[in-house]
Amino acid sequence: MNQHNPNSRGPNPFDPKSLSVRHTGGENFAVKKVHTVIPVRKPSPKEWVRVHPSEEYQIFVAVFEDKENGITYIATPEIATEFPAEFKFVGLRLAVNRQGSPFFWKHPPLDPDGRDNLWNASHREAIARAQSDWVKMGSNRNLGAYECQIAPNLKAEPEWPDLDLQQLLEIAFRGRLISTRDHILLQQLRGEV
Amino acid sequence: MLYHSWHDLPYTKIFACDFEFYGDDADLKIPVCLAIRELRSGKIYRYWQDELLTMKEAPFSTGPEVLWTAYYSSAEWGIFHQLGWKIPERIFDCYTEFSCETNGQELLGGRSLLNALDYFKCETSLGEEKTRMRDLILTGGPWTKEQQLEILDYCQSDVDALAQLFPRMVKTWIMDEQRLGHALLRGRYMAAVSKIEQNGTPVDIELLRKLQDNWEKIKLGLITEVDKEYCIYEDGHFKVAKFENYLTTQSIPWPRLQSGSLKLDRDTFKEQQRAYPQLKSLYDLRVTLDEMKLNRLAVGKDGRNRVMLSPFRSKTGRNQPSTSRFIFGPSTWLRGLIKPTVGNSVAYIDWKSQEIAVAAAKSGDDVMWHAYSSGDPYMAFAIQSGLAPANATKLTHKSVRDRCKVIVLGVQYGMTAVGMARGSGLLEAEAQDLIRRHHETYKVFWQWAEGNASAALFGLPLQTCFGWKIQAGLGTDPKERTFLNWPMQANAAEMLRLACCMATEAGLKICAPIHDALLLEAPTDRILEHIKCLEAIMRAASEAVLGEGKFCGVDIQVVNYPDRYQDERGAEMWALVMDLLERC
Repeated sequence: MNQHNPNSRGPNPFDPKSLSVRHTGGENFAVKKVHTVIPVRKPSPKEWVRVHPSEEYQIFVAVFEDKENGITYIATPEIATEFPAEFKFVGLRLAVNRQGSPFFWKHPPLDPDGRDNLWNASHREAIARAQSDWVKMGSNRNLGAYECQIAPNLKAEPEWPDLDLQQLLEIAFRGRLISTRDHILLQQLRGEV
Repeated sequence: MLYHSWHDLPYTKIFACDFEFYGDDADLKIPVCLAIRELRSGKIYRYWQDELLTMKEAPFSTGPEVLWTAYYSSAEWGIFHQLGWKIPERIFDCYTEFSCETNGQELLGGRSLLNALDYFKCETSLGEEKTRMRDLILTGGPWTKEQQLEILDYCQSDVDALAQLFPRMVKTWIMDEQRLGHALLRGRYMAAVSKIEQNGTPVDIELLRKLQDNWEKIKLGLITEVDKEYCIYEDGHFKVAKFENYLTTQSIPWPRLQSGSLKLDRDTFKEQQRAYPQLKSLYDLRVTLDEMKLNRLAVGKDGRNRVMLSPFRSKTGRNQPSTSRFIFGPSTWLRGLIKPTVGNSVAYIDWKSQEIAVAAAKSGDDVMWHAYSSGDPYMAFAIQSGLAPANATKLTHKSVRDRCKVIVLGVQYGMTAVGMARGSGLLEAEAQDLIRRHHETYKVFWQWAEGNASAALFGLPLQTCFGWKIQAGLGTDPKERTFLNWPMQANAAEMLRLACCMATEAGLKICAPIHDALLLEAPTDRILEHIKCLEAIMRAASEAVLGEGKFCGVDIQVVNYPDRYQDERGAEMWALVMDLLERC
């Protein structure tokens, strides 16, 4: 008998329920996805996407698109104001595709003078639909507009990154923020380098 | 209750025991001698064969107040059965505990007693005389007085070794009552294994002998018959160049090694024949020729197939009997040799979709559990994921169901879309979409499964509901796929073990455990009664593993004498072999 408790008979292997362990081992092992890259783009025509419905995940920013290298730079409002010819304003909406990869959906803003075209209008329409449904957006040159398909039977809700807008923008534009006149890009544009 | 050392264990006595015995392969073993060491007092007891055969019961109590220990104790309990002794109620098997605690580590030398002693840095002279003594014992006697003493000394050396090993094991691993309880449950299973090994499976020995006598002719006949469709064999040998030619004419893509040669291993063939059904006969032929060595099938003089079940041999804790010696090896057609004797019946009883039940219950995924309880988890997945309407059935949506079945079974093994597509004839994009749907439909399951896999890759241990563990060892190269599937396989193995324990203790004659099934034998006039009893036991075992209120259903196949058992996967090959035998 147990010298500490002479009355103890020990565990009973014929009573397996008394021996049952509930946890396998990974239940408390929390794994967090770390996003190191967040592209700034339109969705590809083959891609099903959703847009975050909250206004907290939308912003209008000034960007410079280096088409040759496929890089998008973001500028502070001050720089954008000082160099209006170099930058354009775009809207960014947080979006996610079926693989769970987040990106900023870049779109043209509403023209302040009320001028619009079918491409821009249909683009914004697709974004609006994507807030509640999975959508696929493709261009239709004959129509002169984007066409949008929705998947009404696809009920799965997207998984959004657990970051606020500021954090997401820092990831998306890491190393690509233009905040001073001396930024190498501006120097290049001025022909100084 | 915490234990600081073996002295704290709640038993009046602790007996380390070891038998020496001999016997032909699949026949029942004959005891030669027994050595027992009572660990608390250090007293040694030795019994020679003539004394053993007169003893009506074990020399010491086998009640719950006493602990018995051995290394790979199913051998010892097999002799207990032979002698008609009651099996101890509390068994601590040092082999099962060594296997449990080192599962996931690569150990040179495996999990032998010598290796366990080395692991714990015990001093021992075991091994020096092992081969000579084994050979002496296997002669079966008669032995001179000097030889008898030698054999007894050799027998005692094992219990002396246990006297060192047991305390160190307990101190290192058995911290508390629950841990001890898990060890005792595994010990209980070793007793069940000994009974099942003793029972064996009834085999049509007359037919087996005919097959063995004519096997060379049958082999050539099989090749000739099957090769009509392929033209790959030459003088009884598989010709790779001819096979390449066949693949080209049939437009069948085939995986290759880095060298550029065709991958011709069994797994590759198995996957390919699923995607290209025209290869099935060739695959069956290759398995039969490569792996089926009829003379190796372990059948005793009494017509019973008996093999060492090798419990806890695999990482999941499952049995791993020899594939060539066990009648339930990969050549499924060979199971046609299973035939109950006059007046008897056998019943093959397997749990329905056991791994899905385990996945749903252990993860707590109610959606998956709902799919399981529907009775058709594949159709349920199709409906839940939006691929089929709510009123869809197996008949109305067969092809959708078939595609879903591939994915439901494949994802739990961590198969990739490529692997699943290749093995099923699905397009890769289709497989990818189905996998994604599975993840979306069963979010709770995937969170649990991936959490386990991440923890295990990190080096943390995983365990089953009764404490069978795995932990990636230093220097190993663990695969995520292993750990994704491990909890399902390992908990399913617990269910099978518990059912084996309960069934053998209830007096049911279990011939063999086979993955998720049991083969039961009984007189024909009692088979239904025994089936009912076993069904209740399997249900209870499933609830013990899955949790209160959750059960796994079973399917039952009964075979009465003079019929024979038939596995439908091997039916075609069986018919061909029988036809060839007829012509010999």
